[in-house]
Amino acid sequence: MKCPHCFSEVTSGHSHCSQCGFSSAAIRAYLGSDWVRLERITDNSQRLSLRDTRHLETVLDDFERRFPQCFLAAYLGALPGTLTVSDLGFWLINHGAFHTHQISRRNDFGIVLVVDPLRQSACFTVGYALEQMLPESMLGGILERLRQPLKREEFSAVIETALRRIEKALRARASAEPRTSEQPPTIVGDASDLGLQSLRLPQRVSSQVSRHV
Amino acid sequence: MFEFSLPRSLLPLLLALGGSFARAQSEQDLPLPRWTHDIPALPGGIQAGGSQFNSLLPSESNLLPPPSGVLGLRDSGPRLADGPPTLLHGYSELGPHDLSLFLHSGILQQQTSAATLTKPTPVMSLRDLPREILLQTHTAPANEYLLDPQTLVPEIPRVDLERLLEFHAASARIRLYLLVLDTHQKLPESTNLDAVAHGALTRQRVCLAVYPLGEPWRARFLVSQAVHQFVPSASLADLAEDCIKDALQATDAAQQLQRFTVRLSTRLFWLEKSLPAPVPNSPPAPLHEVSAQAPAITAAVLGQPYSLVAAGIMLAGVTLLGTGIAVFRLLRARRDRQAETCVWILPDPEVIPRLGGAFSGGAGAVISFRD
Repeated sequence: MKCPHCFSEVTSGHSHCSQCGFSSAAIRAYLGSDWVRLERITDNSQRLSLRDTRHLETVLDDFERRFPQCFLAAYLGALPGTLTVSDLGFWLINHGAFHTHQISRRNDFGIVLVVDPLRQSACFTVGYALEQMLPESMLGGILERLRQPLKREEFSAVIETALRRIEKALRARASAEPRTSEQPPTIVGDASDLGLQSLRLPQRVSSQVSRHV
Repeated sequence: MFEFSLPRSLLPLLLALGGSFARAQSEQDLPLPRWTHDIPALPGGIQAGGSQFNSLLPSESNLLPPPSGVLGLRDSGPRLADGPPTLLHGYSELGPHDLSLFLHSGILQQQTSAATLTKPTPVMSLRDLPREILLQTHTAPANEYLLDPQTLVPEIPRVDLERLLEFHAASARIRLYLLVLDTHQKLPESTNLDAVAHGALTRQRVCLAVYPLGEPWRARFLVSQAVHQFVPSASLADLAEDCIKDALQATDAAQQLQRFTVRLSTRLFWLEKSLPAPVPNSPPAPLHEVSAQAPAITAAVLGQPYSLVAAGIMLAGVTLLGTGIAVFRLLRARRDRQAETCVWILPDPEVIPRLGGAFSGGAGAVISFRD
Protein backbone atom coordinates (compact mmCIF):
# COMPACT_ATOMS: atom_id res chain seq x y z
CA MET A 1 0.00 0.00 0.00
CA LYS A 2 1.03 3.59 -0.52
CA CYS A 3 1.13 6.61 1.68
CA PRO A 4 -1.73 8.91 0.75
CA HIS A 5 0.51 11.92 1.12
CA CYS A 6 3.79 11.02 -0.58
CA PHE A 7 2.72 7.77 -2.33
CA SER A 8 5.71 5.85 -1.00
CA GLU A 9 5.19 2.22 0.01
CA VAL A 10 3.77 1.66 3.48
CA THR A 11 3.77 -1.76 5.07
CA SER A 12 0.96 -3.04 7.23
CA GLY A 13 1.23 -2.28 10.92
CA HIS A 14 3.29 0.88 10.53
CA SER A 15 1.77 3.81 12.36
CA HIS A 16 3.33 6.43 10.12
CA CYS A 17 4.96 6.81 6.73
CA SER A 18 8.68 6.26 6.95
CA GLN A 19 9.26 8.73 4.11
CA CYS A 20 7.13 11.75 4.98
CA GLY A 21 5.93 10.94 8.50
CA PHE A 22 2.28 11.05 7.46
CA SER A 23 -0.07 9.41 9.93
CA SER A 24 -3.58 9.61 11.23
CA ALA A 25 -2.34 11.69 14.14
CA ALA A 26 -0.63 14.12 11.77
CA ILE A 27 -3.71 14.70 9.69
CA ARG A 28 -5.82 14.97 12.84
CA ALA A 29 -3.53 17.72 14.02
CA TYR A 30 -4.24 19.56 10.81
CA LEU A 31 -7.97 18.95 10.35
CA GLY A 32 -9.03 18.12 13.88
CA SER A 33 -10.11 14.96 15.58
CA ASP A 34 -13.84 15.62 15.62
CA TRP A 35 -16.15 13.49 13.60
CA VAL A 36 -17.74 15.26 10.72
CA ARG A 37 -21.03 14.51 9.10
CA LEU A 38 -20.31 12.79 5.81
CA GLU A 39 -23.09 13.23 3.26
CA ARG A 40 -23.40 11.29 0.04
CA ILE A 41 -22.68 14.47 -1.89
CA THR A 42 -20.73 17.38 -0.46
CA ASP A 43 -20.47 20.01 -3.17
CA ASN A 44 -18.38 22.69 -1.54
CA SER A 45 -17.41 24.20 -4.89
CA GLN A 46 -20.98 24.51 -6.17
CA ARG A 47 -20.29 22.50 -9.29
CA LEU A 48 -23.45 20.43 -9.18
CA SER A 49 -26.94 21.64 -9.90
CA LEU A 50 -29.80 20.72 -7.63
CA ARG A 51 -31.09 18.41 -10.30
CA ASP A 52 -27.74 16.64 -10.53
CA THR A 53 -27.52 16.35 -6.79
CA ARG A 54 -30.98 14.84 -6.48
CA HIS A 55 -30.26 12.42 -9.29
CA LEU A 56 -27.02 11.37 -7.63
CA GLU A 57 -28.79 10.92 -4.32
CA THR A 58 -31.14 8.48 -5.99
CA VAL A 59 -28.32 6.60 -7.69
CA LEU A 60 -26.29 6.38 -4.51
CA ASP A 61 -29.31 5.34 -2.50
CA ASP A 62 -29.95 2.47 -4.92
CA PHE A 63 -26.34 1.43 -4.54
CA GLU A 64 -26.65 1.41 -0.78
CA ARG A 65 -29.82 -0.71 -1.00
CA ARG A 66 -28.04 -3.29 -3.13
CA PHE A 67 -24.89 -3.23 -0.98
CA PRO A 68 -26.08 -2.77 2.61
CA GLN A 69 -22.51 -2.71 3.94
CA CYS A 70 -21.17 -0.03 1.60
CA PHE A 71 -21.49 3.62 0.86
CA LEU A 72 -19.89 6.09 -1.46
CA ALA A 73 -19.42 9.71 -0.48
CA ALA A 74 -18.27 12.35 -2.91
CA TYR A 75 -16.61 15.59 -1.94
CA LEU A 76 -16.16 18.41 -4.46
CA GLY A 77 -14.17 21.37 -3.31
CA ALA A 78 -11.01 23.37 -3.62
CA LEU A 79 -8.35 22.39 -1.12
CA PRO A 80 -5.48 24.40 0.32
CA GLY A 81 -2.04 23.79 -1.10
CA THR A 82 -0.88 21.91 1.97
CA LEU A 83 -3.66 19.35 1.70
CA THR A 84 -3.90 16.81 -1.07
CA VAL A 85 -7.07 15.10 -2.21
CA SER A 86 -5.82 11.80 -0.86
CA ASP A 87 -5.03 13.42 2.52
CA LEU A 88 -8.62 14.56 2.78
CA GLY A 89 -9.91 11.18 1.58
CA PHE A 90 -7.91 9.43 4.28
CA TRP A 91 -9.20 11.78 6.96
CA LEU A 92 -12.83 11.68 5.79
CA ILE A 93 -13.05 7.92 5.79
CA ASN A 94 -11.53 7.77 9.25
CA HIS A 95 -13.41 10.73 10.75
CA GLY A 96 -16.58 10.94 8.75
CA ALA A 97 -19.89 9.85 10.17
CA PHE A 98 -21.76 8.73 7.14
CA HIS A 99 -25.28 10.01 7.09
CA THR A 100 -27.10 6.79 7.90
CA HIS A 101 -28.60 5.23 10.95
CA GLN A 102 -27.69 1.72 9.84
CA ILE A 103 -25.04 0.35 12.14
CA SER A 104 -24.06 -2.26 9.61
CA ARG A 105 -22.71 0.41 7.28
CA ARG A 106 -19.22 0.73 8.59
CA ASN A 107 -16.58 3.12 7.36
CA ASP A 108 -14.19 0.33 6.45
CA PHE A 109 -16.70 -0.53 3.69
CA GLY A 110 -16.79 3.09 2.63
CA ILE A 111 -15.55 4.70 -0.57
CA VAL A 112 -14.72 8.37 -0.68
CA LEU A 113 -14.25 10.29 -3.88
CA VAL A 114 -12.53 13.64 -3.47
CA VAL A 115 -12.29 16.00 -6.44
CA ASP A 116 -10.45 19.31 -6.38
CA PRO A 117 -11.69 21.19 -9.47
CA LEU A 118 -9.11 23.96 -9.09
CA ARG A 119 -6.09 21.76 -8.71
CA GLN A 120 -7.66 19.33 -11.18
CA SER A 121 -6.99 16.23 -9.18
CA ALA A 122 -9.23 13.44 -7.96
CA CYS A 123 -8.80 10.42 -5.75
CA PHE A 124 -10.61 7.37 -4.49
CA THR A 125 -9.99 6.25 -0.93
CA VAL A 126 -11.46 3.00 0.27
CA GLY A 127 -11.74 1.39 3.68
CA TYR A 128 -9.84 -1.63 4.79
CA ALA A 129 -12.61 -4.07 3.89
CA LEU A 130 -12.61 -3.01 0.24
CA GLU A 131 -8.86 -2.89 -0.32
CA GLN A 132 -8.73 -6.36 -1.83
CA MET A 133 -11.91 -5.97 -3.87
CA LEU A 134 -11.05 -2.55 -5.25
CA PRO A 135 -7.30 -2.57 -5.75
CA GLU A 136 -5.37 0.50 -6.72
CA SER A 137 -4.99 -0.63 -10.33
CA MET A 138 -8.74 -0.97 -10.78
CA LEU A 139 -9.53 2.37 -9.17
CA GLY A 140 -6.77 4.00 -11.19
CA GLY A 141 -8.28 2.55 -14.35
CA ILE A 142 -11.69 3.91 -13.45
CA LEU A 143 -10.25 7.36 -12.86
CA GLU A 144 -8.29 7.20 -16.09
CA ARG A 145 -11.48 6.50 -18.04
CA LEU A 146 -13.10 9.44 -16.33
CA ARG A 147 -10.33 11.81 -17.29
CA GLN A 148 -12.26 13.55 -20.06
CA PRO A 149 -15.49 14.03 -18.09
CA LEU A 150 -13.38 15.35 -15.23
CA LYS A 151 -11.76 17.85 -17.55
CA ARG A 152 -15.16 18.93 -18.77
CA GLU A 153 -16.27 19.20 -15.13
CA GLU A 154 -19.13 16.79 -15.74
CA PHE A 155 -18.95 15.71 -12.13
CA SER A 156 -22.41 14.21 -11.98
CA ALA A 157 -21.56 11.87 -14.81
CA VAL A 158 -18.20 11.15 -13.21
CA ILE A 159 -19.75 10.08 -9.93
CA GLU A 160 -22.46 7.98 -11.58
CA THR A 161 -20.08 6.24 -13.96
CA ALA A 162 -17.58 5.56 -11.22
CA LEU A 163 -20.31 4.05 -9.10
CA ARG A 164 -21.46 1.75 -11.92
CA ARG A 165 -17.95 0.46 -12.43
CA ILE A 166 -17.32 -0.01 -8.74
CA GLU A 167 -20.62 -1.81 -8.35
CA LYS A 168 -19.72 -4.15 -11.19
CA ALA A 169 -16.39 -4.93 -9.54
CA LEU A 170 -17.99 -5.51 -6.17
CA ARG A 171 -20.64 -7.85 -7.56
CA ALA A 172 -17.90 -10.12 -8.80
CA ARG A 173 -16.73 -10.61 -5.23
CA ALA A 174 -20.06 -10.45 -3.43
CA SER A 175 -22.63 -13.09 -2.77
CA ALA A 176 -26.31 -12.49 -3.41
CA GLU A 177 -28.53 -13.05 -0.46
CA PRO A 178 -32.28 -12.63 -0.17
CA ARG A 179 -33.41 -9.39 1.25
CA THR A 180 -34.66 -9.86 4.76
CA SER A 181 -38.36 -9.43 5.10
CA GLU A 182 -39.51 -6.51 7.16
CA GLN A 183 -40.20 -7.34 10.78
CA PRO A 184 -41.61 -5.14 13.53
CA PRO A 185 -39.10 -4.24 16.25
CA THR A 186 -39.41 -6.55 19.22
CA ILE A 187 -37.79 -4.23 21.72
CA VAL A 188 -38.00 -0.46 21.59
CA GLY A 189 -35.27 0.99 23.81
CA ASP A 190 -35.50 4.46 22.34
CA ALA A 191 -36.48 6.28 19.16
CA SER A 192 -33.45 5.00 17.28
CA ASP A 193 -35.05 1.56 17.23
CA LEU A 194 -37.81 3.11 15.15
CA GLY A 195 -35.35 4.61 12.71
CA LEU A 196 -35.35 8.04 14.29
CA GLN A 197 -32.02 9.69 14.86
CA SER A 198 -31.37 11.53 18.06
CA LEU A 199 -29.84 14.99 18.01
CA ARG A 200 -27.54 16.66 20.52
CA LEU A 201 -29.59 18.20 23.25
CA PRO A 202 -28.83 21.87 23.80
CA GLN A 203 -30.39 21.67 27.24
CA ARG A 204 -27.66 19.32 28.43
CA VAL A 205 -24.96 21.78 27.37
CA SER A 206 -26.77 24.68 28.95
CA SER A 207 -27.32 22.74 32.18
CA GLN A 208 -23.61 21.92 32.34
CA VAL A 209 -22.80 25.55 31.70
CA SER A 210 -25.23 26.64 34.38
CA ARG A 211 -23.78 24.10 36.79
CA HIS A 212 -20.25 25.41 36.17
CA VAL A 213 -21.53 28.86 36.61
CA MET B 1 -74.80 -13.55 -92.98
CA PHE B 2 -71.75 -14.66 -91.17
CA GLU B 3 -69.95 -12.79 -88.49
CA PHE B 4 -66.32 -12.77 -87.50
CA SER B 5 -64.06 -10.46 -85.71
CA LEU B 6 -61.03 -8.82 -87.25
CA PRO B 7 -57.96 -7.50 -85.60
CA ARG B 8 -58.05 -3.79 -85.04
CA SER B 9 -54.81 -3.48 -86.92
CA LEU B 10 -56.63 -4.16 -90.14
CA LEU B 11 -59.21 -1.50 -89.54
CA PRO B 12 -57.64 1.27 -91.67
CA LEU B 13 -57.07 -1.16 -94.51
CA LEU B 14 -60.63 -2.34 -94.35
CA LEU B 15 -61.86 1.23 -94.34
CA ALA B 16 -60.08 1.95 -97.57
CA LEU B 17 -61.16 -1.29 -99.18
CA GLY B 18 -64.69 -0.74 -98.03
CA GLY B 19 -64.80 2.65 -99.75
CA SER B 20 -63.69 1.31 -103.16
CA PHE B 21 -65.95 -1.62 -102.88
CA ALA B 22 -68.93 0.54 -102.11
CA ARG B 23 -68.28 2.88 -105.00
CA ALA B 24 -68.05 -0.07 -107.41
CA GLN B 25 -71.26 -1.51 -106.10
CA SER B 26 -73.17 1.75 -106.37
CA GLU B 27 -72.26 2.00 -110.04
CA GLN B 28 -73.93 -1.31 -110.69
CA ASP B 29 -77.04 -0.26 -108.66
CA LEU B 30 -76.96 -3.31 -106.56
CA PRO B 31 -79.39 -3.49 -103.61
CA LEU B 32 -76.92 -2.61 -101.03
CA PRO B 33 -77.27 -0.41 -97.98
CA ARG B 34 -76.93 3.29 -98.61
CA TRP B 35 -73.77 5.07 -97.64
CA THR B 36 -73.68 7.99 -95.38
CA HIS B 37 -71.33 10.59 -96.74
CA ASP B 38 -71.21 12.61 -93.55
CA ILE B 39 -67.92 12.12 -91.87
CA PRO B 40 -68.47 12.00 -88.17
CA ALA B 41 -66.32 14.24 -86.05
CA LEU B 42 -63.94 12.64 -83.66
CA PRO B 43 -64.83 13.24 -80.08
CA GLY B 44 -62.64 15.25 -77.85
CA GLY B 45 -61.06 17.12 -80.72
CA ILE B 46 -58.77 14.23 -81.43
CA GLN B 47 -57.05 14.51 -84.73
CA ALA B 48 -57.10 11.55 -87.04
CA GLY B 49 -53.53 10.75 -87.66
CA GLY B 50 -50.32 10.11 -85.83
CA SER B 51 -48.02 12.59 -84.29
CA GLN B 52 -45.34 12.45 -86.91
CA PHE B 53 -46.85 10.90 -90.00
CA ASN B 54 -49.93 13.03 -90.55
CA SER B 55 -48.88 14.06 -93.98
CA LEU B 56 -48.63 10.48 -95.09
CA LEU B 57 -52.17 9.59 -94.10
CA PRO B 58 -54.95 9.63 -96.66
CA SER B 59 -57.25 12.62 -96.61
CA GLU B 60 -60.39 12.44 -94.60
CA SER B 61 -62.58 12.32 -97.72
CA ASN B 62 -61.10 8.97 -98.57
CA LEU B 63 -61.97 7.57 -95.20
CA LEU B 64 -65.55 6.74 -95.78
CA PRO B 65 -67.38 4.95 -93.11
CA PRO B 66 -68.22 1.39 -94.07
CA PRO B 67 -71.81 0.30 -94.29
CA SER B 68 -73.22 -1.77 -91.57
CA GLY B 69 -72.73 -5.42 -92.31
CA VAL B 70 -70.43 -4.94 -95.27
CA LEU B 71 -67.54 -7.34 -95.26
CA GLY B 72 -68.96 -8.92 -92.23
CA LEU B 73 -68.09 -6.01 -89.98
CA ARG B 74 -70.21 -6.13 -86.92
CA ASP B 75 -72.47 -3.26 -86.04
CA SER B 76 -70.90 -3.26 -82.66
CA GLY B 77 -67.35 -3.10 -83.97
CA PRO B 78 -65.03 -0.14 -83.68
CA ARG B 79 -65.79 2.94 -85.71
CA LEU B 80 -64.19 6.28 -86.22
CA ALA B 81 -66.86 7.84 -84.11
CA ASP B 82 -65.97 5.57 -81.25
CA GLY B 83 -62.84 7.51 -80.48
CA PRO B 84 -59.30 6.25 -80.42
CA PRO B 85 -59.07 2.67 -79.39
CA THR B 86 -56.47 1.81 -76.85
CA LEU B 87 -54.08 -0.45 -78.64
CA LEU B 88 -51.77 -1.24 -75.79
CA HIS B 89 -51.86 -0.37 -72.18
CA GLY B 90 -48.86 1.70 -71.30
CA TYR B 91 -48.48 3.20 -74.76
CA SER B 92 -51.41 5.54 -74.73
CA GLU B 93 -49.17 8.41 -75.78
CA LEU B 94 -49.15 6.99 -79.27
CA GLY B 95 -52.03 7.82 -81.53
CA PRO B 96 -54.09 5.06 -83.00
CA HIS B 97 -53.20 6.02 -86.54
CA ASP B 98 -49.51 6.46 -85.95
CA LEU B 99 -47.71 4.83 -88.82
CA SER B 100 -45.06 3.63 -86.45
CA LEU B 101 -47.59 1.05 -85.40
CA PHE B 102 -47.23 -0.54 -88.81
CA LEU B 103 -43.48 -0.64 -88.75
CA HIS B 104 -41.62 -3.84 -88.34
CA SER B 105 -41.46 -4.96 -84.74
CA GLY B 106 -43.98 -2.29 -83.93
CA ILE B 107 -46.09 -2.27 -80.88
CA LEU B 108 -49.11 -3.53 -82.74
CA GLN B 109 -47.38 -6.82 -83.36
CA GLN B 110 -46.83 -7.17 -79.66
CA GLN B 111 -50.47 -6.64 -78.85
CA THR B 112 -51.17 -10.26 -78.17
CA SER B 113 -48.05 -10.83 -76.19
CA ALA B 114 -48.79 -7.87 -73.96
CA ALA B 115 -51.54 -9.88 -72.47
CA THR B 116 -49.05 -12.58 -71.59
CA LEU B 117 -47.50 -10.46 -68.83
CA THR B 118 -48.78 -12.07 -65.70
CA LYS B 119 -47.72 -12.34 -62.14
CA PRO B 120 -44.42 -14.06 -61.48
CA THR B 121 -44.66 -17.78 -61.42
CA PRO B 122 -44.46 -19.01 -57.84
CA VAL B 123 -41.41 -21.09 -57.13
CA MET B 124 -43.51 -24.10 -56.34
CA SER B 125 -45.21 -23.86 -59.70
CA LEU B 126 -42.02 -23.94 -61.74
CA ARG B 127 -41.54 -27.06 -63.79
CA ASP B 128 -38.30 -28.53 -65.04
CA LEU B 129 -37.52 -28.24 -68.69
CA PRO B 130 -38.35 -31.66 -70.17
CA ARG B 131 -35.28 -33.76 -70.75
CA GLU B 132 -36.09 -34.49 -74.39
CA ILE B 133 -36.26 -30.78 -75.12
CA LEU B 134 -32.97 -30.23 -73.39
CA LEU B 135 -31.44 -33.00 -75.46
CA GLN B 136 -32.52 -31.17 -78.58
CA THR B 137 -30.19 -28.36 -77.67
CA HIS B 138 -27.30 -30.79 -77.51
CA THR B 139 -27.64 -31.52 -81.20
CA ALA B 140 -28.19 -27.90 -82.21
CA PRO B 141 -25.66 -26.49 -84.69
CA ALA B 142 -22.90 -24.41 -83.18
CA ASN B 143 -23.89 -21.44 -85.29
CA GLU B 144 -27.48 -21.48 -84.05
CA TYR B 145 -27.33 -18.87 -81.34
CA LEU B 146 -30.99 -18.68 -80.48
CA LEU B 147 -31.89 -21.95 -78.82
CA ASP B 148 -35.63 -22.12 -78.80
CA PRO B 149 -36.50 -25.78 -79.16
CA GLN B 150 -40.07 -25.20 -78.04
CA THR B 151 -40.62 -22.38 -80.54
CA LEU B 152 -41.73 -20.01 -77.82
CA VAL B 153 -40.57 -16.83 -79.52
CA PRO B 154 -42.94 -15.60 -82.25
CA GLU B 155 -41.66 -15.67 -85.77
CA ILE B 156 -40.86 -12.01 -86.32
CA PRO B 157 -39.07 -11.41 -83.03
CA ARG B 158 -37.29 -14.70 -83.62
CA VAL B 159 -35.93 -13.50 -86.93
CA ASP B 160 -34.87 -10.26 -85.28
CA LEU B 161 -33.08 -12.08 -82.51
CA GLU B 162 -31.39 -14.50 -84.85
CA ARG B 163 -30.09 -11.63 -86.94
CA LEU B 164 -28.88 -9.83 -83.86
CA LEU B 165 -27.12 -12.88 -82.47
CA GLU B 166 -25.53 -13.70 -85.81
CA PHE B 167 -24.28 -10.16 -86.09
CA HIS B 168 -22.98 -10.38 -82.57
CA ALA B 169 -21.18 -13.65 -83.27
CA ALA B 170 -19.58 -12.19 -86.35
CA SER B 171 -18.38 -9.06 -84.58
CA ALA B 172 -17.75 -9.95 -80.94
CA ARG B 173 -15.11 -12.15 -79.39
CA ILE B 174 -17.57 -13.47 -76.82
CA ARG B 175 -20.36 -15.28 -78.56
CA LEU B 176 -23.82 -15.04 -77.18
CA TYR B 177 -26.20 -17.97 -77.01
CA LEU B 178 -29.74 -17.59 -75.82
CA LEU B 179 -31.74 -20.53 -74.53
CA VAL B 180 -35.39 -19.60 -74.18
CA LEU B 181 -37.60 -21.33 -71.64
CA ASP B 182 -41.29 -21.02 -71.12
CA THR B 183 -42.59 -18.81 -68.34
CA HIS B 184 -43.25 -21.66 -65.96
CA GLN B 185 -40.10 -23.59 -66.80
CA LYS B 186 -36.72 -23.81 -65.18
CA LEU B 187 -33.62 -25.80 -65.79
CA PRO B 188 -33.43 -29.06 -63.87
CA GLU B 189 -31.12 -28.97 -60.88
CA SER B 190 -28.43 -31.21 -62.33
CA THR B 191 -28.45 -29.79 -65.82
CA ASN B 192 -25.12 -29.81 -67.59
CA LEU B 193 -25.15 -27.24 -70.33
CA ASP B 194 -21.65 -28.06 -71.47
CA ALA B 195 -23.09 -30.44 -74.05
CA VAL B 196 -25.17 -27.81 -75.78
CA ALA B 197 -24.38 -27.55 -79.48
CA HIS B 198 -22.15 -30.62 -79.34
CA GLY B 199 -20.03 -28.96 -76.66
CA ALA B 200 -19.21 -25.98 -78.81
CA LEU B 201 -19.82 -23.64 -75.90
CA THR B 202 -16.93 -25.08 -73.93
CA ARG B 203 -14.42 -24.58 -76.72
CA GLN B 204 -14.80 -20.87 -77.24
CA ARG B 205 -15.53 -17.65 -75.43
CA VAL B 206 -19.22 -17.84 -74.85
CA CYS B 207 -21.97 -16.39 -72.77
CA LEU B 208 -25.07 -18.52 -72.54
CA ALA B 209 -28.17 -16.86 -71.17
CA VAL B 210 -31.02 -19.07 -70.07
CA TYR B 211 -34.02 -16.86 -70.32
CA PRO B 212 -37.53 -17.72 -69.06
CA LEU B 213 -39.91 -15.87 -71.30
CA GLY B 214 -41.67 -13.08 -69.44
CA GLU B 215 -39.61 -13.50 -66.26
CA PRO B 216 -36.24 -11.90 -66.88
CA TRP B 217 -35.41 -11.82 -63.19
CA ARG B 218 -35.03 -15.59 -63.37
CA ALA B 219 -32.52 -15.41 -66.20
CA ARG B 220 -29.33 -17.35 -65.64
CA PHE B 221 -25.97 -16.48 -67.10
CA LEU B 222 -23.18 -18.90 -67.88
CA VAL B 223 -19.83 -17.93 -69.26
CA SER B 224 -16.97 -20.07 -70.46
CA GLN B 225 -13.85 -20.37 -68.38
CA ALA B 226 -11.94 -18.26 -70.88
CA VAL B 227 -14.18 -15.38 -69.85
CA HIS B 228 -14.65 -16.21 -66.21
CA GLN B 229 -10.96 -16.37 -65.33
CA PHE B 230 -10.18 -12.92 -66.68
CA VAL B 231 -13.22 -10.98 -65.57
CA PRO B 232 -13.97 -10.29 -61.90
CA SER B 233 -17.09 -11.94 -60.59
CA ALA B 234 -18.41 -8.56 -59.52
CA SER B 235 -18.26 -7.31 -63.11
CA LEU B 236 -20.09 -10.35 -64.36
CA ALA B 237 -22.69 -9.99 -61.65
CA ASP B 238 -23.09 -6.34 -62.58
CA LEU B 239 -23.55 -7.34 -66.20
CA ALA B 240 -26.27 -9.80 -65.30
CA GLU B 241 -27.98 -7.31 -63.06
CA ASP B 242 -27.85 -4.63 -65.72
CA CYS B 243 -29.42 -6.89 -68.32
CA ILE B 244 -32.22 -7.91 -66.00
CA LYS B 245 -32.87 -4.32 -65.06
CA ASP B 246 -32.99 -3.28 -68.68
CA ALA B 247 -35.37 -6.06 -69.56
CA LEU B 248 -37.64 -5.01 -66.75
CA GLN B 249 -37.99 -1.60 -68.36
CA ALA B 250 -40.49 -3.23 -70.71
CA THR B 251 -43.71 -4.86 -69.67
CA ASP B 252 -44.18 -6.98 -72.73
CA ALA B 253 -42.51 -10.40 -72.72
CA ALA B 254 -41.20 -10.16 -76.28
CA GLN B 255 -39.89 -6.66 -75.73
CA GLN B 256 -38.28 -7.76 -72.52
CA LEU B 257 -36.47 -10.51 -74.39
CA GLN B 258 -35.41 -8.08 -77.09
CA ARG B 259 -34.11 -5.54 -74.58
CA PHE B 260 -32.42 -8.25 -72.61
CA THR B 261 -30.59 -9.60 -75.65
CA VAL B 262 -29.56 -6.22 -76.96
CA ARG B 263 -28.27 -5.18 -73.54
CA LEU B 264 -26.41 -8.41 -73.04
CA SER B 265 -24.85 -8.15 -76.47
CA THR B 266 -23.75 -4.59 -75.75
CA ARG B 267 -22.28 -5.51 -72.39
CA LEU B 268 -20.40 -8.41 -73.92
CA PHE B 269 -18.86 -6.03 -76.42
CA TRP B 270 -17.69 -3.91 -73.48
CA LEU B 271 -16.49 -6.95 -71.65
CA GLU B 272 -14.28 -8.27 -74.36
CA LYS B 273 -12.00 -5.27 -73.99
CA SER B 274 -10.81 -6.68 -70.69
CA LEU B 275 -9.95 -10.04 -72.18
CA PRO B 276 -6.49 -10.97 -73.41
CA ALA B 277 -5.89 -12.36 -76.86
CA PRO B 278 -7.43 -15.81 -77.29
CA VAL B 279 -5.14 -18.79 -76.87
CA PRO B 280 -5.30 -21.10 -79.88
CA ASN B 281 -6.17 -24.76 -79.32
CA SER B 282 -7.18 -24.19 -75.73
CA PRO B 283 -8.80 -27.27 -74.18
CA PRO B 284 -12.53 -27.34 -73.57
CA ALA B 285 -13.57 -26.02 -70.17
CA PRO B 286 -16.93 -26.14 -68.42
CA LEU B 287 -19.20 -23.14 -68.25
CA HIS B 288 -19.38 -21.03 -65.10
CA GLU B 289 -22.60 -19.55 -63.89
CA VAL B 290 -22.78 -15.88 -62.99
CA SER B 291 -25.05 -14.81 -60.17
CA ALA B 292 -26.87 -11.58 -60.69
CA GLN B 293 -27.05 -9.20 -57.77
CA ALA B 294 -30.53 -8.28 -58.74
CA PRO B 295 -32.82 -10.26 -56.48
CA ALA B 296 -33.53 -7.29 -54.24
CA ILE B 297 -34.43 -5.08 -57.19
CA THR B 298 -36.43 -7.67 -59.02
CA ALA B 299 -38.14 -8.73 -55.89
CA ALA B 300 -39.11 -5.17 -55.24
CA VAL B 301 -40.44 -4.88 -58.77
CA LEU B 302 -42.08 -8.15 -59.36
CA GLY B 303 -42.18 -9.97 -56.21
CA GLN B 304 -43.05 -13.51 -55.73
CA PRO B 305 -40.19 -15.96 -56.31
CA TYR B 306 -37.51 -13.85 -54.72
CA SER B 307 -39.88 -12.30 -52.26
CA LEU B 308 -40.50 -15.73 -50.82
CA VAL B 309 -36.81 -16.19 -50.20
CA ALA B 310 -36.39 -12.61 -49.01
CA ALA B 311 -39.42 -12.92 -46.81
CA GLY B 312 -38.00 -16.11 -45.36
CA ILE B 313 -34.69 -14.46 -44.64
CA MET B 314 -36.40 -11.41 -43.18
CA LEU B 315 -38.67 -13.59 -41.10
CA ALA B 316 -35.70 -15.55 -39.78
CA GLY B 317 -33.86 -12.31 -39.06
CA VAL B 318 -36.81 -10.75 -37.33
CA THR B 319 -37.37 -13.93 -35.35
CA LEU B 320 -33.73 -14.03 -34.33
CA LEU B 321 -33.76 -10.37 -33.41
CA GLY B 322 -36.99 -10.76 -31.51
CA THR B 323 -35.62 -13.76 -29.66
CA GLY B 324 -32.49 -11.84 -28.79
CA ILE B 325 -34.46 -8.89 -27.51
CA ALA B 326 -36.76 -11.18 -25.55
CA VAL B 327 -33.82 -13.01 -23.97
CA PHE B 328 -32.13 -9.71 -23.16
CA ARG B 329 -35.28 -8.36 -21.56
CA LEU B 330 -35.80 -11.60 -19.69
CA LEU B 331 -32.29 -11.48 -18.31
CA ARG B 332 -32.62 -7.84 -17.41
CA ALA B 333 -35.97 -8.42 -15.75
CA ARG B 334 -34.46 -11.34 -13.87
CA ARG B 335 -31.57 -9.17 -12.77
CA ASP B 336 -33.96 -6.43 -11.73
CA ARG B 337 -36.06 -8.90 -9.80
CA GLN B 338 -32.93 -10.25 -8.20
CA ALA B 339 -31.87 -6.72 -7.36
CA GLU B 340 -35.23 -6.12 -5.75
CA THR B 341 -35.25 -9.28 -3.74
CA CYS B 342 -31.53 -9.73 -3.12
CA VAL B 343 -28.73 -7.80 -1.56
CA TRP B 344 -25.06 -8.22 -2.22
CA ILE B 345 -23.01 -9.14 0.78
CA LEU B 346 -19.29 -8.60 0.69
CA PRO B 347 -16.77 -10.61 2.63
CA ASP B 348 -15.33 -8.98 5.73
CA PRO B 349 -11.59 -9.57 5.71
CA GLU B 350 -9.28 -8.92 8.62
CA VAL B 351 -6.80 -6.17 7.80
CA ILE B 352 -4.00 -4.90 9.97
CA PRO B 353 -4.40 -1.12 10.31
CA ARG B 354 -1.84 1.21 8.78
CA LEU B 355 -0.86 4.77 9.49
CA GLY B 356 -3.06 4.79 12.58
CA GLY B 357 -6.24 4.86 10.54
CA ALA B 358 -9.18 3.18 12.24
CA PHE B 359 -11.11 2.43 9.03
CA SER B 360 -8.73 3.09 6.19
CA GLY B 361 -5.01 3.03 5.58
CA GLY B 362 -5.37 5.39 2.63
CA ALA B 363 -5.75 2.72 -0.06
CA GLY B 364 -7.00 4.05 -3.33
CA ALA B 365 -5.90 5.83 -6.45
CA VAL B 366 -5.16 9.40 -7.46
CA ILE B 367 -5.30 11.11 -10.83
CA SER B 368 -4.41 14.58 -11.99
CA PHE B 369 -6.54 15.57 -14.95
CA ARG B 370 -4.68 18.78 -15.59
CA ASP B 371 -3.81 19.36 -19.31
